Amino acid sequence: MTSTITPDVIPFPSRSRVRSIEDSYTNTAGLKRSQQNTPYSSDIPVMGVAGTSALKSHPISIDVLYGSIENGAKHPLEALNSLAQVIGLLELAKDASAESVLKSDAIMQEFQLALRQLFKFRQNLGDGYGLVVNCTEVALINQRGVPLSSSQISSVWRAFRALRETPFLSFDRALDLVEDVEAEGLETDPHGIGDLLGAE
Amino acid sequence: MLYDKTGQIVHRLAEGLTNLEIAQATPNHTVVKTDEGVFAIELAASRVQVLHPESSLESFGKHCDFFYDVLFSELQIRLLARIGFRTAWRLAFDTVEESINFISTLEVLNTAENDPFRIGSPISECTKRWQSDKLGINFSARIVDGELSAELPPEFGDDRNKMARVRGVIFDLDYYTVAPVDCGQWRPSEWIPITTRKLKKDMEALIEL
Repeated sequence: MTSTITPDVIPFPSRSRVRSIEDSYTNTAGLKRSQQNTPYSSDIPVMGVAGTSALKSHPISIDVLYGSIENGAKHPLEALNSLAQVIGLLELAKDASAESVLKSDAIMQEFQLALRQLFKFRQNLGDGYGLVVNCTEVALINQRGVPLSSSQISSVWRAFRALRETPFLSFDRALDLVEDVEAEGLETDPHGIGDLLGAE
Repeated sequence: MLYDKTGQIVHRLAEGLTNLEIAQATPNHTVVKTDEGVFAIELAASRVQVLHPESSLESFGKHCDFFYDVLFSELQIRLLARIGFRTAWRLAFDTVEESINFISTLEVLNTAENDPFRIGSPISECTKRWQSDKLGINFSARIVDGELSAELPPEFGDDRNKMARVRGVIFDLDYYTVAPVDCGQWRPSEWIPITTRKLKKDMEALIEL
């Protein structure tokens, strides 16, 4: 049996096909398009440019985009190394919270110290990044020594995972991440800010 | 949205770039020329082009940051279907024969022993593409002797013909993403220098320099 090669043309994707591809997309926080509170979420059809099949897949990994890490070498974007370390701490804290609050809290204190180091990258990464790091630190300070619950640690972990995958996120998108953390009962505004604002 | 926002985009670009001049202003294709480079905004794509980038890529990246920040915010773009970065690298040789000899001995192209379509020798140009579901690159080696022939877009205007006289081999690298890129992942001033270094290192290994 033989097969033959025939000339063919590449059909332009139909509108319904584009829509189904769009629906299959989830962002780095794991939200489907319809769950994302953006103007991009529902009505605007998305088209790839000639020669690409980009919308058939999930967004590229940040490690691939900036060069994969080989043999344990440092990531070319220094902040991503530090973010990976604090995500590791949060995972340890999450695991520890099931068995020992003290152990989990000790790890979270280590995480809090690392936030100071992370904050210095805001100049290169932008206001969105700075907002998430700063609000997280304020939230931990506002706890006044009360350990974070497992679900609170998870919400911070989700925020930092999203932050590592999209470190140049806009301020508006950073607010979404902060709101997710606040939804777990963490207070991300400095104490007294409400009084100051109310005094005007 | 592009039709509605073009005026606003150009207005904001004028605040951050110098000597901005609108070279073309049609609803689906706007081109502005500035001292920092040529910026083109189209319905399907946007491009930043410079003919003589400064020795440091830093300022080029910063100008790209500004341009794309304006576009992303005005057009409310969150996801990019493709990012492309095209560069040309020149390896000078004294004679055409040396260039031919160099290309024919390149293991990656293997033109000396491999001519499946019987093009005939000497091969003056050869292209190879690698593509995964994440990234792709089009690698082309071409012998040039005289004016570098390149098909530049009309945005270059008179500069289209101001190309250097060269003799040697031009390596044309068209590096691009296949998987979509979230706007929060990409900052040109970080990505361009990192990618340039990576491409240079990989290409030098490929052509065994």
